[in-house]
Amino acid sequence: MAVSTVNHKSEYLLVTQLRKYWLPALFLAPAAFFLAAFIAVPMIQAILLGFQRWNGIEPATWIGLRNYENLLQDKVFWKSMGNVVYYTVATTVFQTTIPLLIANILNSGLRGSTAFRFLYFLPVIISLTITGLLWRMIYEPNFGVLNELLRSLGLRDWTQLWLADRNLVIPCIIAVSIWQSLGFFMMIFFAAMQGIPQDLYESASIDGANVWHRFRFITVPMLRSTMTVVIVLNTIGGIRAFDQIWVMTTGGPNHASETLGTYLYRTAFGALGSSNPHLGYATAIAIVILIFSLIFSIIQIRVGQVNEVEL
Amino acid sequence: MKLLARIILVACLILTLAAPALSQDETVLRIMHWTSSMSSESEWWNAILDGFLEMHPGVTIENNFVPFPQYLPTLESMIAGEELPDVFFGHVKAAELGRGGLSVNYSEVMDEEFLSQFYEGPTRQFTFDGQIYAIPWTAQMFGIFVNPAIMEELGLEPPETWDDLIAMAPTINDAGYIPVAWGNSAMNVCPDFVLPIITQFGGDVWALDDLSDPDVSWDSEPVVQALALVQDLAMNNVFMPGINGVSEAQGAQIFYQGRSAMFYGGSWYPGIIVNEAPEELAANYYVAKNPALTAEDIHWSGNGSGEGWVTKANSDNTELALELVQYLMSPEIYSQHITETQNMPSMEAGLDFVENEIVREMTSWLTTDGANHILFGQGSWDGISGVCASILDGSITPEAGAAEIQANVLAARAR
Repeated sequence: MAVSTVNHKSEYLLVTQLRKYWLPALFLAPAAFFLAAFIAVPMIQAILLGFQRWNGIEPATWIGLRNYENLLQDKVFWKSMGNVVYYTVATTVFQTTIPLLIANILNSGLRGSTAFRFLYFLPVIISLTITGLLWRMIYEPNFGVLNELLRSLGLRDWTQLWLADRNLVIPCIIAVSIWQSLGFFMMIFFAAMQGIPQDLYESASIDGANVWHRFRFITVPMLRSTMTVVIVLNTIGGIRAFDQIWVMTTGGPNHASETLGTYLYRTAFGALGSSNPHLGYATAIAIVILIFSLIFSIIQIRVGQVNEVEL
Repeated sequence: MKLLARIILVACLILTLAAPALSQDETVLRIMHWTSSMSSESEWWNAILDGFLEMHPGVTIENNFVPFPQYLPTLESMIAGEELPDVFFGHVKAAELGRGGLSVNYSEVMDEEFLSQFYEGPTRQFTFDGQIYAIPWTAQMFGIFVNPAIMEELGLEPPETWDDLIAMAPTINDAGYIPVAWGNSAMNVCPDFVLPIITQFGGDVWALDDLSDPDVSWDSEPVVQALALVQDLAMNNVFMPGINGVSEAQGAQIFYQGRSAMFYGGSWYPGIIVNEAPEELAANYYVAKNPALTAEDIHWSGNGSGEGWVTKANSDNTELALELVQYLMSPEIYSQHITETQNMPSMEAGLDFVENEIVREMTSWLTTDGANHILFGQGSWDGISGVCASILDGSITPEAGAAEIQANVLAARAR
């Protein structure tokens, strides 16, 4: 009898253990396998490749930190880094504040707000490549729509070379990015605003708060976590900016709009007529992008958590 | 019922396991190129490939068309992944692949009679260290395409020299036209423009690209002079304002729309002009040689070959792939290719099948005015394309630009 009880107990323990550890592990295994095969292993390989010289043809050779040392002396890398900071700061500021303000206006009960939301959102559904091609035509200095429009309005002096002007090329690309992403971020803010209790606004109004006060002291604090998400998305998007810029300028003229993303691509795969890739060097650039994205994201998420407003 | 299910299951398993073995009986020859007229929808190209398959039962051909803008990254990835096709356009990788032993050295496997049938320029394009690593499928030559209506209206003739071009620019600009249209937003056309001018000033672009001769460098006098001339042309409004913000296609459109008197482009444009330009322009435009330094000088202009067949070395299919290349270059097949595409032929025998007069004329320049405009050396193309853009917008002096090219190329090679 006692032996039977012990057996039952051990069987029960075995089943419990199985249920507790092995079954979840079994269910997680397929996903874990794919994550390991397609994310973890390539990432480790990429980190290792950053310490090697490899042109894709001859066997890779281990060169330690040489790629990173070369990056420090590479003028184009630093130019790209400067452009990324410029682009990221500008897009993060404008692509957070402008959508927030517009969402607030649309949320205030403006007549036709649904139509406006639809119109603002339209550019989001167009691919970045198509947008880039479209705006490249608009910005064409001689017969492009923008300069033609300015001329027809009698503003000939305002016409510019746009993408061909090394001082204007980044602001031009920033403007396109704002135009493209406005609807997306506006919808995020608009959706978040629906969750703010109306009682807060009503109480504030009774206390004499005007529109600005209600926005400044209720809407903004209540949207802090949403703003953190938007800022993080914008920051990461800015650091890894590539497609629109590549289509519009290929990083030119003479690296004036080069970003880490375009420089990585140029170094890895070559431009239209280029050859001889530096895959190890390109991977080192990719690792820099990864590190920057990671650091900024962690900082912003932490800052967002500290300032979180709880109801 | 259970027995039936088991039999079906076993049959499925056997078929699944046997499928790879069965498929191995068939040899698949993979080819890759960027020519849209040779895509899988192309009747004439399919007919050519079918002709080869009829001679080789049990062989199938996988025809991969990759658009030019995506071609180089695709090829780079295939090289890195050790997945090279059997026969493909080598692009600017021809030298590296050949030197690395990944592609066939045609000098070793083809006889002299076969190799000597091609024009010198296109073959030279793919010759490195005396070895030929690609067979030119077509040739190319740059020139100035002229809108006759505008030139007639202004009483102008195509420029013989660069000074002529600078002198006529105000007349053309004052009439509201752009003298010479082209676009450099992708930074790939300016090197095509400036490299032959380096040859005009006595420079050796092959040696510059190679950079192994200590007496040759990118900051040498011919390079400085060529950059200075291009800057002169830009500052004298020979090109459109903001040329670095204009794409190659937009430059061509400006010419098609009758907004520029001339257009700088390659010998593939006649085929495009027929389809894209207004009928009147397509019927009447003509082509002129690149201007020279003086009327007596050679009108050096970019030539060579972009489309060169490279054969993957040391694979089970190498012999068959070489047979395919020989078949494609056989007189009967090559004539079909030229007849259908009206591309510039890489061999004299193909000229008989070119009906387009503009292409015929440009082909005749191959042996007299052809200069190198395609770079294969590490960092060469990136070095010159970036500086060239700065030369065009005047943000760098020719001396500083030449020094920057040299420094950038050396830096790229030291990595």
